[in-house]
Amino acid sequence: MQAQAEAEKARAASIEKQAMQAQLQLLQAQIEPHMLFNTLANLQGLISVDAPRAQHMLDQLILYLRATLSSSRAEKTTLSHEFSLMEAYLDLMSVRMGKRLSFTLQLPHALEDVLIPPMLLQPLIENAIKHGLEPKIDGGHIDVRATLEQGMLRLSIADTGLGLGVSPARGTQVGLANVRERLLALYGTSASLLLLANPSDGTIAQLDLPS
Amino acid sequence: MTMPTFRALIAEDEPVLAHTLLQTIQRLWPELQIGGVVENGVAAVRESLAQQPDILFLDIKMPGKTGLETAQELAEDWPDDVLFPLIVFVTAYDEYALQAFEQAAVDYVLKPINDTRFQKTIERLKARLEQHLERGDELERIVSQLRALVPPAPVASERLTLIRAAVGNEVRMIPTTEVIYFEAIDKYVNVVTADSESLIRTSLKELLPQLDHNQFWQIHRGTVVNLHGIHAAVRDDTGKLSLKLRGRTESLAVSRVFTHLFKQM
Repeated sequence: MQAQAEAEKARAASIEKQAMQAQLQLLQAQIEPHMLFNTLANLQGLISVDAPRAQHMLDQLILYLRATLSSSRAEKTTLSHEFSLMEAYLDLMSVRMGKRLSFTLQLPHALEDVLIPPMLLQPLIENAIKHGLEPKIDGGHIDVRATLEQGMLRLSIADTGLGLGVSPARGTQVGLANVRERLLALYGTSASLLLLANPSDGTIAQLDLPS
Repeated sequence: MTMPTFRALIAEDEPVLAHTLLQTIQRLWPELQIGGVVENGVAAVRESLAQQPDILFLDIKMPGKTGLETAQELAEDWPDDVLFPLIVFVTAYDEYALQAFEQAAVDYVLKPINDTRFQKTIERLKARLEQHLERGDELERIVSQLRALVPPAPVASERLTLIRAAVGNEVRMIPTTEVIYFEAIDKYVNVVTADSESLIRTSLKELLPQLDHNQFWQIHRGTVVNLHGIHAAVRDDTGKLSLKLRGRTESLAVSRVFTHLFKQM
C-alpha cells in the first residue's frame, strides 16, 4: 500500500518536474530576444503609420507574453485558451512577415472547453514558423485544427513551408523532445505526436490525445 | 563643393521594418537615393549586382540567404572595376558579436532603430563616401571582415571516407582520397575524380562538415578542392587566382574570399 503511494507520489513529482522544465525551456526558446526585438521594431514602425493596428499588435504581444511568462500556470487549460494564444502568436508573426504568412485556426464549438495541458501546441506552431515558413522565400500558410477522430482528440498543425529535413535553421529538437516527454509522463503510450510530410508541401505536426 | 549623389539599396524581409528604415533614412539623409527595397537574400544579390549601389543596408536574418551569405556572395562576384558598396548590417539582436563591426569597415544598425545611433551611422557613411578614391580597399576590408564573422563550418563527429553516388542503376563507391574536387550544382554536389563525375543528392553545406579540413579546402562558395589534387595555383594579369589540377584539364577559380589560403610559403 505504502509502496504504491510512494510510487504515485514519485510519478506526480516527476510530472511536475517535467512541466517546470518544459516551462523553463519554453521561456528560453520562445521569448527569444530576436523575436521580441523584431516585434518591438515592428510596433515602433506601425505606431506612426497605422496606430489601430499597432494597438492590436500590442494587445496580442501582451497576451502572448503574459501566457508565456506566467509563473502560475494551471495544470490544464481549455482548447479555446490555447487557440487564442496561438492566434496571438500568429497575428504577431503575420504583421512581421506581411503577405508571406497566412493562417487559419479551426476549433469546433463543441471542443472549446476541452481541457489539455498548456504549452503543448505552442512549440509545434513555433517550429512551423521557424523551420517551415520563415526561411522560405515565398512563405506560405498554416492551418491549425482540432477534431475528434475515433474518440481521440486530434490537434494538427499543417504548414506549407520548406518541409522536413530541408530547413537551414536546424533545430536542436529540444522543443519536440520536450513535448514527447510530457506526453509520455501525462498519458503514457495513449498519446502520440507524429511529424508527417504535408502532401501540398511542408510539414504536418499531428498530436493525438485521449479525450 | 557639392557632394555627388549617392545611391543605396535596402534588403529587409519584414515589410514594416523595411518601411521604417526607408522613412528614417529619408528623414535623416534626404539626399541619399534609395534604389529600392528587396525582401530576401537572393534578390539582394541580384539587385546589388544590377544597381551597384554605394551603400547596402543588409538585414542579417532573411529567407533565401542570410545577410552574411549575401555579403560573401557579393564579395565573390563583384566586378573588379566598380567600387564595392559600404555595407551596413541591420539586426534585431546582437547575435554575431556586433562589437566586432563597430571598429571595423562595416557598420551595423540595431532594430528598433534609434535616431541618435542611426545619425552616427550616417555620419560615418558620409565620411567614408567623401574619401571616395580611398575606398578602393573596401572589398579587401569586407572580405577580411567576413572571414572573421562567418562562423567556421561545424565539424561532424563522423569523417566521410567513402562517397556513395548513384549512377544509373548502380551505386558507385568513391573513396574521398580519389576525389579531386566537389562542385555545388543547385541542391546537388558533383563529385569529380580524375576519370569520373557523379552527382550526389546532398548540398555542399551538408557535405563540408564531414570532410577532413586538412585535406579539403573550400575555395569558392560552390567549390571544395582536395589539396592533393592541386598541381599549381596561377595568378593571371588581373590578379585572379585559379588552380591547375592533377589529372583534370579544367582549372578552378579561387574566389577573393579564399585567395589568402594560397599565399606562397
